[in-house]
Amino acid sequence: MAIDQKELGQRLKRAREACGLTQEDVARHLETSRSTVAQMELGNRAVTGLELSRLAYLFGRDIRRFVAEDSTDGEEALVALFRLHPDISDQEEIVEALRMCTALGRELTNLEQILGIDRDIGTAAHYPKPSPKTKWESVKQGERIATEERRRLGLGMTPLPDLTGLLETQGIRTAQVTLPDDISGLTLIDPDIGPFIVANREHHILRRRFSYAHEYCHVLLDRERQGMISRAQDRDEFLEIRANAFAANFLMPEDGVRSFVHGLGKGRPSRLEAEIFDEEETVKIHARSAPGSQEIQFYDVVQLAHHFGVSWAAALYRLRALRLITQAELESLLEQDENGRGKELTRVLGLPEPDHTSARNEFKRRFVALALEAYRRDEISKAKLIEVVNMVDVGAREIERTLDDLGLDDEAVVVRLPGA
Amino acid sequence: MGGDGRTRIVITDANVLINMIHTKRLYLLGELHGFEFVVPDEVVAEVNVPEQAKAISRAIDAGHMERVSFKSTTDLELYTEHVQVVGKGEAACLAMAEVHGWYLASDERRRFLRLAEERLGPDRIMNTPGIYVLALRAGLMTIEQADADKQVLEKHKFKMRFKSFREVVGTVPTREKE
Repeated sequence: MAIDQKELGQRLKRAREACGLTQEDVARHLETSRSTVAQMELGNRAVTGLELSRLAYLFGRDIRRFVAEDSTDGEEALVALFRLHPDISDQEEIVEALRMCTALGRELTNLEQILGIDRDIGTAAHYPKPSPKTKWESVKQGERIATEERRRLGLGMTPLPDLTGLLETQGIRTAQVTLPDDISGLTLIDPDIGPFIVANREHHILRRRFSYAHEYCHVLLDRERQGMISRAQDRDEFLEIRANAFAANFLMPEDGVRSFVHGLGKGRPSRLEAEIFDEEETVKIHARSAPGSQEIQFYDVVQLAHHFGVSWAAALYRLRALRLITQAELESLLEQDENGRGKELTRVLGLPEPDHTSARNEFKRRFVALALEAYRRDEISKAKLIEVVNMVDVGAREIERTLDDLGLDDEAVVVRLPGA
Repeated sequence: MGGDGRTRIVITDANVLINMIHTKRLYLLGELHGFEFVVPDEVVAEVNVPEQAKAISRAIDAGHMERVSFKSTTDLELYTEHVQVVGKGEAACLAMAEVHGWYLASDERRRFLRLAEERLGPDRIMNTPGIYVLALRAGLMTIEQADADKQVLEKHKFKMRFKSFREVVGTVPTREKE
């Protein structure tokens, strides 16, 4: 039995208020008047399907929840984000990006469910830790959890070339979406979508990898918050510091970095000491590295960064955190990074440049392919396919041409007449 | 809206409207005796080629068809289920046809047709060729005109499984004849 108009109106009102929107705001999005919205909320005016679809997008809610008899299954991620970051509600660019992320997460979930792609959203580990009280504690927690998580996943000290693949195996959906430049990524934990991590599509591929690892920390440690936005302005907050420390350690484990640096013949102390016991007493042996032989050069940094799939800057800060370079060396090497030395060295060393352009479309490729597959299997209609691919900027004509090319849209029709 | 017991209300999906626009026969929807064609807001919204949108608007103004909206949360609830697998316009057509016992005009095959058959049964579904057959039987056009339109539609990649309307005009049974 369907709910009545009055109940629907009350639900719409509650959803609007939870997102911090006024009736005027909603009216603007629906291209209608405030009084129409007021009448809908009072249950005096029927809501069209189109309006309900737009409201679901606006409030980041599964459209079915508005009319389902039982709709009490927890708070949506978008609402949680508004609650945690009340300052964003008047920043339309951010809010719109969040809405799009939520809508993409819902559609991705829908497509995966339609196609029977099982994703156990309970797979990802949970490390319930008290929130850190200091920056130092934040760093240490992040480092410790990264080490524990690597151990749990049996990753040893190897690089993680397919980070999004790894996250997907942990039941986490990932996407690349264009976000405002000061947002590197965000995490949504929605009762319907499960954990969903978004990285800024416009950022460099290596930065995005770092963002994915950073957001993964939020899934592991901050799940109860249901949503996190990683903004440049919040980087001094303890949870963000913890997530950054986690990301650096997760992508570049200490043992792995030390081993790599040793492989370059570097990273040893300049003065070595050993004691050999000869059954009577110990013999002390001293050795000194050749002056300057242990100094890490920018070409070492370029190789290290390439090995772990991180930016040169991320590799440099990791070396400094592990005390493999001094503060003065860090500053000197960062200057070389800023002077563009890395590109030239990458070329000379014959290292491949990361394919940023192709990689930024990784999510789009996966999303469109899922939609095509759902259409091919007759699980969604062509109109639905067009609506879905429109979300990632693929036009109707473009997808119709593709269907033609694939021979998926050439069925001739018979005459269909109505019966009595 | 009609509903005198003999008039059948047909809720019309965008692909049928666009086909009738291609052949400049949208007016036929207002001339088929015993049928009243309606179009939901969701279908009107998804026709976004300006000339086609104008043609639909003109047809509504001329009374060839009537625009309809959801009236209850029952059809809205069905819409929210259908919209997971079909387009918004299709979902609206299907939900309203289900709730009000209307007929459905759609040229969609595959998933939407399957869902429509499950929900409405095969007797409450018609398509563009079906509308042409009804128009031919009603003497609203000639076979030659219908076949010329068939060629126009084929240029728009809408193919029919027969060469001429002559083959089907008298042979496709309606339930009334059975």
